[in-house]
Amino acid sequence: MHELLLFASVPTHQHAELLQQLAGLTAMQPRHCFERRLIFKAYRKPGVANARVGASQDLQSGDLQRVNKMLNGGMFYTQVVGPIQSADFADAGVTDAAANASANANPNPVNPDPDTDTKMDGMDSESSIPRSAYDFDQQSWQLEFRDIPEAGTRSAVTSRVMATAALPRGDIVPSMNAWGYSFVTEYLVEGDMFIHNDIVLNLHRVLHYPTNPGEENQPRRQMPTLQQMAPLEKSGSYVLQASMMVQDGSNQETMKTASQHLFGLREQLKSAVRLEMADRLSLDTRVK
Amino acid sequence: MPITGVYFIPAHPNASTALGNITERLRSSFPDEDLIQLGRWTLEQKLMRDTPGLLPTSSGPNQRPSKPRYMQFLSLSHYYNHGFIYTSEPAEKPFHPPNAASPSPAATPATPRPQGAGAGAGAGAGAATAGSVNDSTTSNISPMLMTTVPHSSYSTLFQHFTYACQPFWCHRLTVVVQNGVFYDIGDFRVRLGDVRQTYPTNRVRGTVVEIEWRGPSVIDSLDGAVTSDVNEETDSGVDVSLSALEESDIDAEFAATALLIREFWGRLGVEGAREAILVPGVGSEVKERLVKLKGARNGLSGPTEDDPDPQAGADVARQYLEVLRFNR
Amino acid sequence: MATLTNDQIKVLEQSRQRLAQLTRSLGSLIASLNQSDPLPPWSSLQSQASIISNNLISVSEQLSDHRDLLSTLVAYPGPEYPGRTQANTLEQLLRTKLDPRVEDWVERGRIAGTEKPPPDTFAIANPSLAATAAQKQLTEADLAELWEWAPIEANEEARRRNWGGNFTLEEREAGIQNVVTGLRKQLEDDEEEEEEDEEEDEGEEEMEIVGVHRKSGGNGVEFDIAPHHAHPVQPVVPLSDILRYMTTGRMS
Repeated sequence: MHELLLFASVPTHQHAELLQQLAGLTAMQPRHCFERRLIFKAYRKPGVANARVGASQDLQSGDLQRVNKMLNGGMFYTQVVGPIQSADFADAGVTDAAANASANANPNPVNPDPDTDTKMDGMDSESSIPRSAYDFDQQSWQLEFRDIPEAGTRSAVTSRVMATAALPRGDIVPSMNAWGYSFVTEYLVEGDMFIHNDIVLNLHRVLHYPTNPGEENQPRRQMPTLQQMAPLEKSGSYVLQASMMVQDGSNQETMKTASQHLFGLREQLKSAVRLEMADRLSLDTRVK
Repeated sequence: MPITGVYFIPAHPNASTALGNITERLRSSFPDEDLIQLGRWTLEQKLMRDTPGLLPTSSGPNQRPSKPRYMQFLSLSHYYNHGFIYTSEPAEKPFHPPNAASPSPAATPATPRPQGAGAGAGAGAGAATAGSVNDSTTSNISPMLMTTVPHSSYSTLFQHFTYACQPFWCHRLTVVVQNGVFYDIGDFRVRLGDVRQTYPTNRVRGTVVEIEWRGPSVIDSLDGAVTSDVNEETDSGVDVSLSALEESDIDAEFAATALLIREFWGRLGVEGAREAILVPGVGSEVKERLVKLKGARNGLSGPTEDDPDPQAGADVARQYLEVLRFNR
Repeated sequence: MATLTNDQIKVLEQSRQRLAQLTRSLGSLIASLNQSDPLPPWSSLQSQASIISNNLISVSEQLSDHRDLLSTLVAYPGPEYPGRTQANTLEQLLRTKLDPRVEDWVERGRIAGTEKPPPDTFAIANPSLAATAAQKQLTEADLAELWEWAPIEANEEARRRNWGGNFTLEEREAGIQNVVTGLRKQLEDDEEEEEEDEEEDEGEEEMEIVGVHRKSGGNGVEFDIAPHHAHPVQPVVPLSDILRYMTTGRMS
């Protein structure tokens, strides 16, 4: 699969207007989304990268060359992305009263569910973390691999190889570790999504989590309050991303059509924002 | 999750396989049973190895020969909702990028999954007969981690690892069972099929036999109890004694059923088979279920829209993957 | 049972033609809704709607003008009627009661006719009038729909005018000296200067917007340049750094 993209920086004062304009353009209400984005990085044990070509035991020499070539192949950053709801944030409408009410709303009020009790006790003891309904073990994830954008494309659009695959719910780190990826960091993307014909428009920004010691090295199991999240870009600006997926990137005809659709959108929006291709190296997913 | 055992009878390239022989033995060993073919089944395994491990071991003076690492992709038609990925645990915990904030000892992520579960099942393997996979292979490879992924992701992930992970994963071979058949014999369901290698070259690898115990089992009732809404468990009529189960009871159940399966296999009198029943990690999901039933939090995936039980078949997948982990 | 006079046959033929017209225009509206993507421009929809409305009126007039005749006519198959091949039509012609589905339509129409204001003031013909006249009848959903629809349309209308000057284009074309403003102050026509200003400022004003309007082709939307924004805040972190962070978790 290929992905074609254009980007624009949107200053904070323009955000509300642009939302309305996009709503008008796409004839849909903005879909507000939050995404946890976990960054993983391919790792390889140190010291094996440049093995010498020695006496071969069970490898043909052609095989050996191939293996050596593979050993020097690219390694990548890969993201694991999980959608969350605004209700997943701590204190997002889940106050003590609401929590009690839902406990009482249990179909069997005389004999409250023991599960609920243990959960609540467990949470109360972690007094530093505000209460939320968020259940990390049920968090759904998908792997999002993006290659470095293709170099030297003549068209003025960012084009890259992509792959997306659903992963099991819950703690994905053990699997990712076994597969060769280590957790680097995570951030949250907050924003609105629009669909315009075959183009997906995301008007979003990066939010940082409040840092608690010891939490940096693995994905957090609890969500803070939304107020505790701070934008990466302090002025509060947003990024507009227009993207389009092409199933068969080797088909020049479809790629051309797709770029033309993006250019059409760029023209329509040109007096509002300047959609441009991204600096290739800023989207470099290779591990160096 | 039913208890199963898997046997593999290797064949020489270009020679005929043991399939006909086994079918005949089934017929003659169980004369009271009608051997009626109930349907077909298929299997595909794609085996990847750690790329550095493919280099000649003499490649570096300051380098210990490391244990081979594997990543095995398995797809079974009888668990069509998801694929299985069975991966060697990392030999050492991944080191973090240099900009990791705190070099505190807590920096290594704790693995929440109870790795001891595998060892627990292994304890029941004391009864294992000589020549079983446990003894022959597991000692020289690292422990394996089972991940089940939605079926739609199965091939995407495989492509991802072949495309973006070449320095550490190398696709070594693909084997398939294309025309498997299955029979019900008494309390057992038997799946048979010829294993063919389709990558890198076409060749016969042998015959695989899966024996599934379909008689009464405490594990089945455990499945039912957890798949239904946990909140309803108090009045759903589930046998309360289930919550009195301990992990050791589950190990005992696996060990006892393993004996039944071995006895069944023994009646066929087929020589030269590799056996996988009480392989490391077998029963992990069942034990997680037990933990869940007892009300503690854990990392077990609940049902999703497309998949009522995302972890179904993990045990039989482990068994297949143990016997099908070929070197080239 | 008298045979029909020529005049009476003519009336029947007229009714047939008008019904055929109505069917055709309904068919063409349905076809244009089904086939064109994006939807046809509202102006085209509106003109089709008014054609349909006219057709309806003429059918309705025709039917009521000749009510006496039409209600006394009885259909029966003549010997030369091709009953074998046209059995369906024959059955329709010989019906004494309406088709149950048609009966439902008629019923719905009667109810709508007695409870609501005349249908032609309803949204299609004149939305703004309909909004005030039929406000009580509009459901929540209708209102929401109207509100979604109206701002863009109003804006589009507004965009046709060149705001900011003291005179409209029509007034200027007719000669501004003729305009009765009712003011003592002499208004200037500052159109010329404005245009120059716009050209100069184009670069920096490009990022600022006031509204959106559809291109005349009905295909897509354009944004217009707005007056200066009250509190412009330019981003501190360049886009490429944000993208780099989103990709690798690092800024550099």
